[in-house]
Amino acid sequence: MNGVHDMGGMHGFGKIQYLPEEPPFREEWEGRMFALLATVTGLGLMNIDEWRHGQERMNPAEYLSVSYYEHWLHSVVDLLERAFCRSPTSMRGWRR
Amino acid sequence: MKGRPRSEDGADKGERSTTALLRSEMVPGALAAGHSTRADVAIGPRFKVGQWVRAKNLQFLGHTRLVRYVKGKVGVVETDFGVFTLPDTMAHGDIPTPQHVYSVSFTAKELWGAEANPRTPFALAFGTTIWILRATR
Repeated sequence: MNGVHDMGGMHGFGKIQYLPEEPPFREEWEGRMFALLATVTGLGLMNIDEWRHGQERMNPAEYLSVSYYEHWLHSVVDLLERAFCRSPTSMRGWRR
Repeated sequence: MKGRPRSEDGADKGERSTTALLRSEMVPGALAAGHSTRADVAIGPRFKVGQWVRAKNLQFLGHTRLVRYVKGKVGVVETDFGVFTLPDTMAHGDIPTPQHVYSVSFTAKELWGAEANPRTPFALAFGTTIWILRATR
């Protein structure tokens, strides 16, 4: 898929921002997101490649404007909706 | 999600699963061990180390980890890592399609042309069998 995620060689984004002392999670919800992914993959509801493809299917403008773990959230919510929630209304409260 | 093993007591029955309970004391070990996509299948390699190969110009809509900037480019097989599942089919229905994964070395000039950074003359990319073809150089 020729998506916006495939950024190698793109110009105009500036230097990669790297902080040597950066903590694994900048906010508490990011740690919960990490645990949620471990849970859905550990339960066999989703494999790691389905998870990556879920991120790639994001709206490209949204993909570029949200943070790293929001890509994870989008993919997991999308998969759970497909897998279980025949009525997406039950997931609506989840969305930020 | 066809072809996926279901737990005996899992969500299929509408009950709470007790199968994959991950207790907090198990987390450090589980994270350290990680999860390998290596496939325990005996398959002979189609390519050998030192061989010239060309990345295919695949443009399909599905998932692939063949990055855009190597498509159509020629490089040399550097390492054969053995047999792994294929992301392109795992992402669409959990289909393993086991095959060899290689690292392929490209010159920076091959990938980026005359603008290539002379301080980083080579770049490595990962290739799986269906992404590459024999080439001559």
